[in-house]
Amino acid sequence: MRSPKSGKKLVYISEDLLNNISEISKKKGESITKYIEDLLEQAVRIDRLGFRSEDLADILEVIHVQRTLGGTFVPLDVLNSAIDTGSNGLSEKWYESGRLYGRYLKARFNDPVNVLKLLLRVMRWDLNEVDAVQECHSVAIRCVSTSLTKAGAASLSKFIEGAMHGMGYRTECEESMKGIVICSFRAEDA
Amino acid sequence: MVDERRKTFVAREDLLRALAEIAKENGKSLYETVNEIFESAILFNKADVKMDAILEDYEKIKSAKEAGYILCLENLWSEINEIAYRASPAEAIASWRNAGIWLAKRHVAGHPVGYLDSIKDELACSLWNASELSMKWDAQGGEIEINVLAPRFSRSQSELLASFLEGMLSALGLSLNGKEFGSGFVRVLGARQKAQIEGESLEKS
Repeated sequence: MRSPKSGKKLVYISEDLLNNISEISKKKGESITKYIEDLLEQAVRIDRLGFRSEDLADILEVIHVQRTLGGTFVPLDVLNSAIDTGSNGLSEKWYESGRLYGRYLKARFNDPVNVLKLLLRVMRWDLNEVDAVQECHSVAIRCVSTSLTKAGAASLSKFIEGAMHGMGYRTECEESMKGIVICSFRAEDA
Repeated sequence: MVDERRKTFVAREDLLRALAEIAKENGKSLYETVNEIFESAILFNKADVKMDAILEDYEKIKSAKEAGYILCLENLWSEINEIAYRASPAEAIASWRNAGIWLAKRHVAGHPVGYLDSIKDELACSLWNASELSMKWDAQGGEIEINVLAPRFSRSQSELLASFLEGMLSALGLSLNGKEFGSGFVRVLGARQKAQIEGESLEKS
């Protein structure tokens, strides 16, 4: 990261933020210059990992959710094969798993639908697109993936339905096919 | 923004150049981007969150993504495996075995030297629900021993993991010298054939 010939430059910052950062660095017993340099380096590293700085807090929450609920890394090929092999008994399991997420997200977050969207993006990077559009009391969710099998799409749809029911929504429409899941929900109390 | 009054601070030029590029990519000014970084740092400090720990998690997730994993609830994953195993044990075992073969081939291609270390790292990352994982090898004798302790694994899950490791060993050109599994544990041993050992060491083969 550090270039041997790198010089120094002045940069503007909000005075209030700089004062806050200065307080924090003092409490940590670090020089403000070193502390800021570490922060900026971390920000560059995070960007190289493909995240935006404003997503940081949310992604941190997603990792926390995964650790709290017991997430594990799963080889996608094996998952797809298992879904295809045992699809008969799996639908309910995906739904129940989604419900658990939904209940937890509703209890913990102010905007659980948005966290679900982020969760799907972070957990299911095989999905090319994840959209969750909220309008008044309705939510429309769309997931697109070129690698999503028919059975995989049905499982994902059940997971989303379970999560939304866990958050207090009812299903208005649900459609899943190879490569795409589209569903919409309405708040129970609307 | 909390306050519009501005101050200046001194920062490394290379870092500022990188941040200016990031700001441009996101359609923001450098001022906005740096402020956002500071705002996040203040929030994390209030929540007593260590940025280094987050970065480690990010990097773990990124590696898993690149290696073809997704995140799934452990209990759902266990049930998926149980149901798939009950429906067709042979297919479930073959699928896990193929995943092991694929993992080994990917590492051998990506790290011609030191692939055993990178395989070990990936196993440690992907089996984060195992309470213990050990992978030892002896480059001279061409032997590998892998032990996994995972108290929550059922017998069938252990068998599937054993098949995965067996597939991995076979793709590394090793014959299976021993395989044991049961609820909560897996142990596999791989060894290179005598003729192979005489010619080359394991890492260089």
